[in-house]
Amino acid sequence: MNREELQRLADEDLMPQIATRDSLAFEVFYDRHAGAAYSLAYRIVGDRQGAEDVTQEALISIWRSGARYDRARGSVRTWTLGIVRNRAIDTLRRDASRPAKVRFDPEELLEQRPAAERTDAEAMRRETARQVRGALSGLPEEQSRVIQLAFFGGFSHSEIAQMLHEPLGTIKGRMRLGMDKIRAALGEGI
Amino acid sequence: MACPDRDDLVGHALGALEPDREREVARHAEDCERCSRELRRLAPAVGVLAESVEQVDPPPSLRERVLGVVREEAGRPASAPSPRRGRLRGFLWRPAAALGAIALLAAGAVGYLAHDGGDNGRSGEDFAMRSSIEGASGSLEVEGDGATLRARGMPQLAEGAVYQVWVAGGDGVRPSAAFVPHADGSATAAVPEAAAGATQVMVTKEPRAGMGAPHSAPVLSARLD
Repeated sequence: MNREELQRLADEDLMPQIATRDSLAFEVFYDRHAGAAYSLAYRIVGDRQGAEDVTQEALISIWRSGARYDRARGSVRTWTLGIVRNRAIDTLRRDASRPAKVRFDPEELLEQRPAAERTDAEAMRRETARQVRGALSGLPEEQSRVIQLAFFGGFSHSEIAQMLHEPLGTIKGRMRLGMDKIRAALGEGI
Repeated sequence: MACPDRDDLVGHALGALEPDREREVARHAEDCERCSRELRRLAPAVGVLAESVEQVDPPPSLRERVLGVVREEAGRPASAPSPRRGRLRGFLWRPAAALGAIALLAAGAVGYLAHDGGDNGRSGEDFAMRSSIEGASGSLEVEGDGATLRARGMPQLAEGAVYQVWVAGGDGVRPSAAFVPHADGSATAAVPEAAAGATQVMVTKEPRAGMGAPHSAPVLSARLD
């Protein structure tokens, strides 16, 4: 298939192409998901070099594993970002000197590309992320905090309970209630 | 094991369980339709979290590096299935990797396991991997045209280092998947080359991903013929 044909494929149909070791199909996959992957890696590990390393390892592992995507695990994007998240957390744990970046600093200088170079897809990705953050900001702070500590910091229930000096059951309950609210918000359309 | 409560299912979805509990819930969910269904319902919410972060542009150099590796590996011819299983006939390796490849052969750290017979390729075979690391273990499950390596108890690595899977066959030693173990030392990697006439699968520790040849003795290995 040529690039144009590959670009018209849905993610779920692109993955089997990658499994045949089609490097052009993987290039299309990279262009669709590397931005989100790098952004998540950067959010977790907190520095660009670390984010590059995590993203590179995660995406190459997807290539080498034959892109064995399991539809039961959600969308291709969710599956990919799950792999990136796990590698980023492992990197955090390996490098104890790097503190978990559990709160994103909006004033931190980010790599910017000139507006003229932004594609529609990139603009949509940014707008979607902004809308999602807006929806998540409606969560009670105590629920948002424990979810962020777990997902972006890699902390367990018991670690979070110790950090916040709260009972373990309270932490578990807040996490569950927060995720239920996110699911409900998705049902209403974020 | 009884179904975990919803708190633990949510914890599993967010990666917030202790390693032992994480393994229990993951294994249970593989065979429990009810828990699998609940995890599928949670997946979009977890995906939303992952996509909620401020979007940052990756540098163009990252694209060049990743696609460079992919294009190089895509350009390698896939090994043709061996007409019959037999002893490894010989290696081809790059001169700089000679020491590493010799170490792979000389280590003798190979594992044998009785497996299903069949002359027409491999189907539904499990190979236990011999380990040179105390407490670590691995297995290779070959099914149809794919194979899955599962490792346990693998030590954590220095930053940037990976465990690299190598597959030996009639055309020499080739890199396959690379992996970094989870915090509990477990890892799973697809090794499709192992289902196509390979005679040996090995895992080495490498300083970084993308190495063209092994630079150390294997920590896990299995002989497939």
